Amino acid sequence: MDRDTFYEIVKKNQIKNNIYKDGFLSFLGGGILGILSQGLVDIYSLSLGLDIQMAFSLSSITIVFIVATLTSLGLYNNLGQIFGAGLFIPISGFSNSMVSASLEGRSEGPIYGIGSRIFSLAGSVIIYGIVSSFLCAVGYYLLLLMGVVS
Amino acid sequence: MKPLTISFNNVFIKACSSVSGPKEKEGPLGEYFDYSFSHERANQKSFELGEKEMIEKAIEILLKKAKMPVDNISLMLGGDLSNQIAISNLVAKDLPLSFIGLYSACSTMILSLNLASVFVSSSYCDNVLCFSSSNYGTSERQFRYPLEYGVFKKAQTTITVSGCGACIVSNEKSRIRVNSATFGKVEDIKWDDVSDMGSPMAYAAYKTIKGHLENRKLNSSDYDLILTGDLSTLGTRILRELFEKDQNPLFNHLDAGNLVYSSSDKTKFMGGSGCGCITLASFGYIFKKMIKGDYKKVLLVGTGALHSQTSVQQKLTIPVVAHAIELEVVK
Repeated sequence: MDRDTFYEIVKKNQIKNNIYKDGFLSFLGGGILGILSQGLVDIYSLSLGLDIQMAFSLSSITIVFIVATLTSLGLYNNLGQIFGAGLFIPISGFSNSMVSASLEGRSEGPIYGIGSRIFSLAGSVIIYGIVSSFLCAVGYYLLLLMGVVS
Repeated sequence: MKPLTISFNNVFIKACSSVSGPKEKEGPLGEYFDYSFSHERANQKSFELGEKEMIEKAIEILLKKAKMPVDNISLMLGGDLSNQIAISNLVAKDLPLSFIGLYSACSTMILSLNLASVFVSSSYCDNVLCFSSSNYGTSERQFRYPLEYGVFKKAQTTITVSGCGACIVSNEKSRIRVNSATFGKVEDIKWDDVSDMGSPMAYAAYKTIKGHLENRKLNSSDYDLILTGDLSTLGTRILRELFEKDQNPLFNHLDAGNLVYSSSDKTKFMGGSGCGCITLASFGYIFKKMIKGDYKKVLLVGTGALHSQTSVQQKLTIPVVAHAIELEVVK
């Protein structure tokens, strides 16, 4: 039995996720989250009369809070399995990664457990978020100097 | 190269016990387990302490069932999936027994049975206690992600079984005799996809079963049951096809990963995995069926993927291994 024969058999039996179904559900999940966030922005800005920038921030904070609560109650991972990237990519995924990691670290105490582990999954998002925003800013500045954008 | 197979004629399984978590209790084999906890943490502060509690419970039930004081046991063998098999060592420190901690991933139970048989057969020991355990809580956080992390799991994923079992391998005659044991070679099929462990382990199982059958000059149809550890639905298909490619189909094969959870339970994806998988299936269910007379000759094949999180993150290939033990019911 050589390697190629083995991989042939593996390939033949490969189980693939249905990308159309999963894609649609992600689209749906992300969309619902988007509508919910916009609804929150409208409530904060139109009904409560807050400044629009403040309303955007508060809307994000509210989503983070809701996801953190759902994660703590053990409900969010089921939603994550259904809606995939729709909930994983937005700020909801960021909130979930921090809360789940810190919940997990509870048994190792406040320093080595919660403190050290809270960014174990979200750390990459932060560091590469900062790096990419810096690169974007440099690119924007260069385009500004060249007069392409104003 | 053929794997090492050793034959015995005076080794028996005196008694065994099985303790499961809540999800396994709900599964098709639930009614067969000696005891089930209502939470993976087993009323303890952490998952690690919960797993320790489960092993201690299994040993306590075992000694009661065997009606044997702990002083009659000369050696204990066992292991789990936690780093440095810390949980097994925590169990061992509270028992007045010499202990050899073993790690062979999900094939640890079969490896410990194999070694125990060697110790008993060579008359160094009269009674050897073996145990093995895995826990969803401790394994997921160590090998994968935090439990509440909402990451999308691929269809080929398997779920770590929360459960453990213990048994006494003895030279005193009883219903189940150990005929032979095969120690598998660690295989490397250049596999690096950590989301699918069933497929590469199927290759190790194929090698070990084939070697065992050759060494014993037997056919798979000579067994009433060949039970693999945790190949899952996907690995089972691959294992059977590997044998078909040899023009020598595998008969009477079942996989413990498909037995522990109901096949209609979609939250378990391809089935169960972990040390507890084959342990619960064999100690809880198969041994009872053997004594009832449903199976006479059984081959248990534990399969393990020998990776660590570091080795996976460094994109190293995942070595796999399978160990086998042949059991027969005697009058």
